[in-house]
Amino acid sequence: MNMNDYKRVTDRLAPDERCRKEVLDMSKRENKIKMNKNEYTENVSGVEVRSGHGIMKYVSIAAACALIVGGIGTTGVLLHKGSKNAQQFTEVVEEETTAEAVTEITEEPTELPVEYDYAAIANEFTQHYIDSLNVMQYGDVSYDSNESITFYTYDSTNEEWSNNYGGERTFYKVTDERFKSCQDIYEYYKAPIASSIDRKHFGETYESFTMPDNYKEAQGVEDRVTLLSWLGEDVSKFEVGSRVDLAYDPEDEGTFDYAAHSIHTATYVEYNGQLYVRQMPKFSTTGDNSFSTEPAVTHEEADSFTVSRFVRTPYLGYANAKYGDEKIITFNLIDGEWKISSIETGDRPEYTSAVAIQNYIEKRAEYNDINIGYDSEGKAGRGIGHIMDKLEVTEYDSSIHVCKVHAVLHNMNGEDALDMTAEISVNHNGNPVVMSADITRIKDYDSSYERPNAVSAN
Amino acid sequence: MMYPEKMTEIYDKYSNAVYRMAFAYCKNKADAEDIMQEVFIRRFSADIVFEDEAKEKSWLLKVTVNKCRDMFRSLRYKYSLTSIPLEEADIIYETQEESDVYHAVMSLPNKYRTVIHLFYYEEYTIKEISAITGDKETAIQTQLYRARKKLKDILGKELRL
Repeated sequence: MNMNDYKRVTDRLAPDERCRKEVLDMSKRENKIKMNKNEYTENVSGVEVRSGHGIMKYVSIAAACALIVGGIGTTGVLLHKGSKNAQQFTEVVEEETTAEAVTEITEEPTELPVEYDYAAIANEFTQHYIDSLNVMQYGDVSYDSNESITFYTYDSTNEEWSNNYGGERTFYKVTDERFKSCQDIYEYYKAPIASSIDRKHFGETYESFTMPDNYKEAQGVEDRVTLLSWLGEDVSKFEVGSRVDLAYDPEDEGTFDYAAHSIHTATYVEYNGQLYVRQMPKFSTTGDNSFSTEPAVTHEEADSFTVSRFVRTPYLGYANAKYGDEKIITFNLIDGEWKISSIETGDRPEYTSAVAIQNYIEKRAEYNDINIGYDSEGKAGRGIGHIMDKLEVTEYDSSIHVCKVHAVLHNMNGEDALDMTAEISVNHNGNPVVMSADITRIKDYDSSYERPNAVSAN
Repeated sequence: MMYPEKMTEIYDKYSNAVYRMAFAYCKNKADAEDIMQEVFIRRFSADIVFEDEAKEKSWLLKVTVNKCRDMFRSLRYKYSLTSIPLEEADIIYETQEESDVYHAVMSLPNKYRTVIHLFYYEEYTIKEISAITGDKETAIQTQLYRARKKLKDILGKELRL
């Protein structure tokens, strides 16, 4: 529990698209009045947008390839199409140099344009990234269940909290040969990641940061969450079986014991030079993060490309998800190696559809008996997952960001009450909107099942 | 006079930040949207050239906070802000922790919510918050301390920050 919970909830708040139109239209009208004319007559002419001379583009790709060659052996992910060998390389250059117009170019180092298999690069890198998340966040490593260390956490200043949230914390010795320390897991996590990461919102970079060498100073690629949430500290100072006090003075940061809190919350801790893992309870039955689609290349240039790939995350409601969350991943060619330079969340067909349905039902008094995830079930930790459990995306058109869904919604008594098919805009660069809906009552309205905060339908 | 393209750019860049600040203060969508619209109309009609985006954003948030205060000084809100319920309709919680922490923050008095939002969500410094709210830095520090203490009382545990 931390302030990131507040941030995450706030991040989901956005004004209606209607406001945008109203504000901009109103301001434009005022402008027109000021200009004392009815219409804008600004014309822009004579502007031509070009991406550069064709041959220079060709050369730039070739130069990029020269840089990349060194990376082939080390990364193993640069894939040539057509298996061009050295002989073919020479022959092509000879053919190209016969043209007078490219005389100057032949004086440059002889390089050949290479076509990269972007999908294959993306597949390998994104798989590595997801695997590393599963290792880091969900403890997806082999361990010896017979070698464990146990501690008992509590807060000496708060007995009630200790009784509710403190208690036994057991870790098992990691036997996975890849990882001997938390730093090893961090190195694995950042292997496909560029040293400088861009964080983006709707495709626009809003901040950049450098991946530090030490995991204790690192943040996640996708958000600002500290990796200490999962990769804990050396806890050798605590005796196995001992009680670990989490109390500290909030006015004195120096009293915060990160090792103690690692025992309480982290997935991994180090103890006497060994790495230990806690087996984390999963949020749902979906297991770890997994891809639901293959990478789709959406944009490519000589030294960068972008792919879209959907991930089923192990959160509430994702158990039946066909798609999950879209990750928009940008790759850059850096010093001859491809690296991931940003990961942004895009469309979320199931989640956003559930939010749209929630809003749609909420505003219609005739459905006040329908459980839309707030209140009673929200308190039980179900939230939006309550709708997602019974929701199926039957069609999803990524080009227009529209879903067709079928959902069966419960009343507050837990009975199937509404059968709903709907067309929903799930554009992550917009608001969730039910565009059309066909709703059939399965169970008649019963006012005794009204949601506690619902406006009466009567 | 500002060109429409520039207006669109400014709106798209800052509307979420302005709306979220207003929502943190007003606790309901309708008022937050009204305030956001007023803020942008003021911005578009103001003949100001900012040195950089950071200054433009802090100016927008300052106007937002002032407009929120104006709204809550009006007769429409005769009760203190803490008695105004949080409008849940547009808030999505994915975990119980998110719900608990968000409700705890929203149960704070408005001046505490404001500094919590600016400090933890927008990640402004005490000095920057002072410039936005017009309160002294020492007052901001006190408000932050008291807000944290109240959160601890509500949640039964100091939040990890």
